[in-house]
Amino acid sequence: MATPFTLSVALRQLAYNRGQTLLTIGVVATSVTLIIFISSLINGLQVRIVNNVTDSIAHVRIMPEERQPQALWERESAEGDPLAVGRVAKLEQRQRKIEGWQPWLERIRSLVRDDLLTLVPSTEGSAVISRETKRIPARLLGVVPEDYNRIVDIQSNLVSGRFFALNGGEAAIGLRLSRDLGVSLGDRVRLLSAEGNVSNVTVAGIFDTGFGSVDGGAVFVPVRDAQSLLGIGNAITGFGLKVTDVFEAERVAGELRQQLPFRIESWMQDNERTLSGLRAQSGSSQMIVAFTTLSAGLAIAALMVMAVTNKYREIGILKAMGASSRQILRIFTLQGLILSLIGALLGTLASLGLLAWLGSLKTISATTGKASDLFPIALTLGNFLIGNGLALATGFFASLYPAWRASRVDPIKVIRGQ
Amino acid sequence: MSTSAPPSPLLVLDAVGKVYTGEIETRALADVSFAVSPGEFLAIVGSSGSGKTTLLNLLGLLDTPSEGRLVLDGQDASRLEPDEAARVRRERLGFIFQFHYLLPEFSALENALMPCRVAGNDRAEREEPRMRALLDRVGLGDKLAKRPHQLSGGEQQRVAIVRALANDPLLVLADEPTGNLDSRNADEVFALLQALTREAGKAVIMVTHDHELAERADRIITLKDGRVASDVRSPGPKAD
Ligand SMILES: Nc1ncnc2c1ncn2[C@@H]1O[C@H](COP(=O)(O)OP(=O)(O)OP(=O)(O)O)[C@@H](O)[C@H]1O
Ligand SMILES: [Mg+2]
Repeated sequence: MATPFTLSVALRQLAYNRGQTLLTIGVVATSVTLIIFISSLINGLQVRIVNNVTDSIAHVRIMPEERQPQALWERESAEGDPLAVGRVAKLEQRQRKIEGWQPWLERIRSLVRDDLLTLVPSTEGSAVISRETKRIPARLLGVVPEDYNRIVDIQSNLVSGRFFALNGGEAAIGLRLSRDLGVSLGDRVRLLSAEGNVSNVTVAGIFDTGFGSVDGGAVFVPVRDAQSLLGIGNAITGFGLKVTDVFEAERVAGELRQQLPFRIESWMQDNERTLSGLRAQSGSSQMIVAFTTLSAGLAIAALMVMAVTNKYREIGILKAMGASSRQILRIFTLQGLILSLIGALLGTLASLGLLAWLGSLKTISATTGKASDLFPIALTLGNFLIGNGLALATGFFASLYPAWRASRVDPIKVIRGQ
Repeated sequence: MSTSAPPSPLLVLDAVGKVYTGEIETRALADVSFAVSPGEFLAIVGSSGSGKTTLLNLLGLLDTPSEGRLVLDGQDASRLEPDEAARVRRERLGFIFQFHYLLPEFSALENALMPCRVAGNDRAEREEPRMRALLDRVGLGDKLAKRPHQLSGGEQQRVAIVRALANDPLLVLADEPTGNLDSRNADEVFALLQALTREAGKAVIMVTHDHELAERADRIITLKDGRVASDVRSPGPKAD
């Protein structure tokens, strides 16, 4: 608690030792800037990396079971029919597909409930897309464009033509694929599915999402066309869903595994390496924060010990006048708080300025000519609070030792001129 | 020769001794007994190492006696807790040291008011007119806003004298208050100290090497090897 006496002595001394004061504020401001800046930048990088992965795919994919023999055996163990093994072996050779899928759609929707952002049936397979002598392997996706657009935004990334309201006999392909094939809007291309079915379709839409795998290797056709190319009748090949929080995908997938007789994969499984990279990055950013805080604390303590040593005589005289040890302690802890408060304020302003400047830098894509942010920056309230909170706590704790030394000054020694 | 003053004594020392413990034990004071009446101006003299500063530190409750009793204003103050001693210093005692030890960050007036600030700010506000008047009285009326480094040594010591009176103490303790000044300044500062304390009715205990100045006190105690060698009331007429 500050009294007018302790506060006025604290402030006067800070104003009097201007050099030391500015130095200490500089240390605090620099570390606050560093903490906010580094964590915002790394946050932003992580958001960008995660978005690059998750924006172009379903967060959770639901597919027919692959390892059917054992799983089916378990599921149908009540029957105890040894023939099941044989039947299953046969099943596995068949096309993997889900018949009568509408009830499953409702089932999944009710299971995922609040976490669900979007759920779409998918009809996918491999195909070769060709134009004259050029042949390129691609992923064939049978979609209801208006639904699928919630998994990957194709519609607003159209370069030409249509995506929504794609008709039978029409396809939408990526800009890169169109260039690789040398086709433009309205040209006809040939699709040959892995099952050996062929169809000639018109390029009705060309898009450029920025996601390489989508732009360079996906062919979107209406569901019916895909079903006949894949030879699966009215069946589909799976479901894709997006969840509200991408990092909850694995939990949701785990819950679905308990309830559904399907193979279920989350993007987090598929991208384990990316995720562990992100975790390592978070760890190193926390280390930077910790060491920055530590070194700032030590610098503040060292500067304040110097200030206290220079003030020995004044401290002794104040004590002779009847100032209590507690009052002396308060004078210097107040100084620690004031220095870190001003430092934190300046550091916050500096980091905001720095982030605003970096955020305004744009980079122009060499291939598409689109402008995007050079540095991904995500300043969260959390970064801000952590930076400032650490500074204040550090300033206070770093001042405790110098303040304690000050409070222990023996006026007798001062009076004796020692 | 000993306590014979009619008013109840302000300060009583009863067989006070001080031994510094450390690698070597040093006895600095032994069997010191005397009493001081309100308003009395007492000089303590003695050769170097005779225990003058040690005695003054005990009187100022900056240190505790190894033996004996020290009674200040009827209250045993021999072995107070540090916080309690600080409170008594704040409320009852004024200090003047050989070096002025003014705080460089504060003006002359603010320095003079510092004991009141330590005790609480409302007090500083109350005492400010009195401090202004006292500073004016010691010839610093036009230098109230000056910082210590803008004042001469004699001026700084005058601020220190005024400061010692800020909290309206019962007793002012001065350790060679003029030791650092040339003789002309020393003379002036001493005269001011004597005048101001006499006007305010404060008792003063002053350590000095200067026998001429000591002669101008009401009473002189001479220490020798930590003992009271003589305790004489000045015969000279000081009631000018
Ligand atoms: N902290 C201490 N530890 C040990 N001995 C001490 C200490 N302080 C003082 N002394 C010793 O106590 C004795 C009295 O010292 P004191 O400072 O009281 O003398 P003094 O009369 O004030 O001398 P001076 O005139 O030189 O100031 C001396 O012998 C000194 O060496
Ligand atoms: Mg001495």
